[in-house]
Amino acid sequence: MRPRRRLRGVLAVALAFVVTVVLAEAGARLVALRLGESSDWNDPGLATQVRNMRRVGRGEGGADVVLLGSSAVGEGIDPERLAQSSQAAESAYNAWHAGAPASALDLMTRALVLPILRPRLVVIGLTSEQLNDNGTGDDSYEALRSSSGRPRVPGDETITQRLERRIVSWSYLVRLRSTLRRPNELVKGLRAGPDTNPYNINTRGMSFETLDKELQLTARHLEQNRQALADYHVGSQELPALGRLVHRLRGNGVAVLIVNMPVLQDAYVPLHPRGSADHERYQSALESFTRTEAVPYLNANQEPWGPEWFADENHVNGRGSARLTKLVSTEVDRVLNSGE
Amino acid sequence: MVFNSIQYAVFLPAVLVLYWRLSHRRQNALLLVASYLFYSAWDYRFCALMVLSTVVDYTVGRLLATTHDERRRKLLFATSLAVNLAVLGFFKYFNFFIDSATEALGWLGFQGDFPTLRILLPVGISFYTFHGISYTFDVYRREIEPANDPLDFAVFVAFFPQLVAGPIGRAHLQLPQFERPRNRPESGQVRSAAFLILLGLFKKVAIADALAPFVDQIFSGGSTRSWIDLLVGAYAFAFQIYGDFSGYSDIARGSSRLLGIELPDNFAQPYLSRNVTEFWRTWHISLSTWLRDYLYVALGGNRGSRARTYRNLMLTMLIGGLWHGAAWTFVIWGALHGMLLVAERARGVRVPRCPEPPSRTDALRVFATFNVVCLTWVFFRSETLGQALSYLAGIVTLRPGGIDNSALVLLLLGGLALLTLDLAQRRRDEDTAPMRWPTLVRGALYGTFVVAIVLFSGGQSVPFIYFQF
Repeated sequence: MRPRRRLRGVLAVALAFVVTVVLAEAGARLVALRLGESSDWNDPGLATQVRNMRRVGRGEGGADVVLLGSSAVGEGIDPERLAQSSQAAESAYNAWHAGAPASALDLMTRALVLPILRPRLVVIGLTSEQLNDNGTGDDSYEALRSSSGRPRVPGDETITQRLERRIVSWSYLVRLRSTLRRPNELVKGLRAGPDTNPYNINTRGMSFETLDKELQLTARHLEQNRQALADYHVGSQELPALGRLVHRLRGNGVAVLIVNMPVLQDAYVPLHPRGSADHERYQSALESFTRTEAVPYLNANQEPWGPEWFADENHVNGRGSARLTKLVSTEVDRVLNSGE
Repeated sequence: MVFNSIQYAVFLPAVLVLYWRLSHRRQNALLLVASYLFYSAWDYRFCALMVLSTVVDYTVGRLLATTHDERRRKLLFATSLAVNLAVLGFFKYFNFFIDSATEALGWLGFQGDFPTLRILLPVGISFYTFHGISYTFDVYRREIEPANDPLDFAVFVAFFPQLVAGPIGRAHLQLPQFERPRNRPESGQVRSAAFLILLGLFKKVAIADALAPFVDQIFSGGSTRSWIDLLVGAYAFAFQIYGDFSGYSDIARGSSRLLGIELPDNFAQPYLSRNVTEFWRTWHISLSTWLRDYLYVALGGNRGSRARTYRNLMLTMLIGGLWHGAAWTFVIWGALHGMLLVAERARGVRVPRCPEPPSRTDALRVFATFNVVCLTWVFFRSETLGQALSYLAGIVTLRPGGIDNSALVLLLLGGLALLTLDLAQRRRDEDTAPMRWPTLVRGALYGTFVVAIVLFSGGQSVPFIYFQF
């Protein structure tokens, strides 16, 4: 009798365990229904980008020029304006990804940009944050890497990561965990519903967040940048990732242009732990890289950029975007015409 | 290799499968190899330090047993102490003392330009050197017999479940366990060990790691955050460090129990304490009892005048603070706790030997003690004194601004979960108390643990806080 009672106890525990897990999974699936596509990409902004890119890929066969970078590129270079002013490029798309370091740009290029947009030229816009080995860019990379919607690319995952993606393909609890563990984001996503567009991204990938803004330096945004620049170090992780990205693009017959994006020097440079010394280290590493790899390089920071061009310390406003787009467009023509 | 990693999930079962097929001597040999492999996963070069500490303490222990000349015994004991403290001092405190000396000379108007070194802090050094010191201390005081077999002693020093973050081993409790053949754990022990591992993972992954990013953000932006955000950050850190460290201890105890070795309790629901004296009876017990037995008592304890007792308490807490890290923030943290303990002793506060569940009338005292402890955590968590003061100033001056709702929700959920588990454990005076809950509730609890672990795992792994000490 005792073993039978014990067995009943074990079964009751197992049943309650399974019911709890199943209920949690069912709850996650309900949330996924409401979040729509963004649940496949761990990020509603990325979901919008992928939707747009696929539309451009299907409808126009791709884009001549693709812009890669973080939100500084997303809000800074206007692909429509670029295509209009360029003599050599007919179409452009801004495939930026929030907070993306060079390693995330590389993964995004392999998984999405090359197969969907088939560009002739890729413009990589960088600030010092994208090359910081100790910054907050890992979150952005991780969101992209672990997203269930991302096509698999050979050699991009360890065995455990592959196993994790296999689990992600059938468990919504695992798939949505990066959203579920941020209650604030979850509530925002649920309120906004499917197909939300939190960064106001247009059909060419450009974000219209900062276009009509005048300069405003907020403590929270400065703090975010300070964290992205924490323990500043260039050279061991993100710079080699940039190298892999450039080699990959060239290996696919795609020309590359690297742009050092404009920042509001007085506000942005002091956010580095060692101030201008760190920023100079970044600039010299980037210049040395472009020289060694013979990559066309536009240092937009060489021009004088006053506060009137910026919405905050590292995002230009509408005026700044028009000016930057013109600069990039001229360089794009030079690169495409020279066949570099 | 950390406890919440895939590597450990493979490593522990592999060790267990081999372990229970071997004879006692071979079990110890396997444990030694496994422990050094476990440690090598961080940096194999630092294994040499552990070997040095083991060889010196074992040799001194043997010599102490055969020497009756008190002066020679004292010299031998001093040698062991000096080697252990020199290793700890060099790797942990060298730059701190150099920097502090330079600053002090600067204040006095002298230009001191001492060289500092780029020194990596070996993981767990504070823990295994304290193991070694406790052993030679006990042998010197003739409280235990020295280890006969170097293998038994080497396993005692390097035992992997407690190697990098404790509980700090005590020779009289643990050495005999390594010396005697061990029985295979019974099914009840296996179940309680599994429960401890699951509970530890829940505390670490679903509470500590869930709160970690918010705590990092709030503390790094302490000078700009609103008072309510800062308050949330301080409370969140209190639960983060508790979940992190007690979670580690639970996994260590569970893993060790599966190997037939019982490790001492390290936590006994510290946030249910009615005063700071009780807090120190229930927080990081293996360190507080170590400090009591080898430092406070050695300084004279409460055997002298009142003033002498207070001095001994203050010194013990200051050194206890410094043990956590080479920074003035830890010294201040220790000093604050020392002052609180002195004040409570002066008021004649008494604490029962076994912690009792708080009654309803205790609620206010528990709440006040928790808040005082949280206040001191601000110094512990801040990188500099300036950062800590600016953090507290932000709270006191009610700096305006918004609140991070995600942090608040996770703080409430995590805090509630920890306190519920603590209350259940305190009521039964048993850390596996939830295993006695009704079957359906138990099943739902295990399911909730697993769901929460899944939800908060993945992404960047957050190292255990106490690894840095």
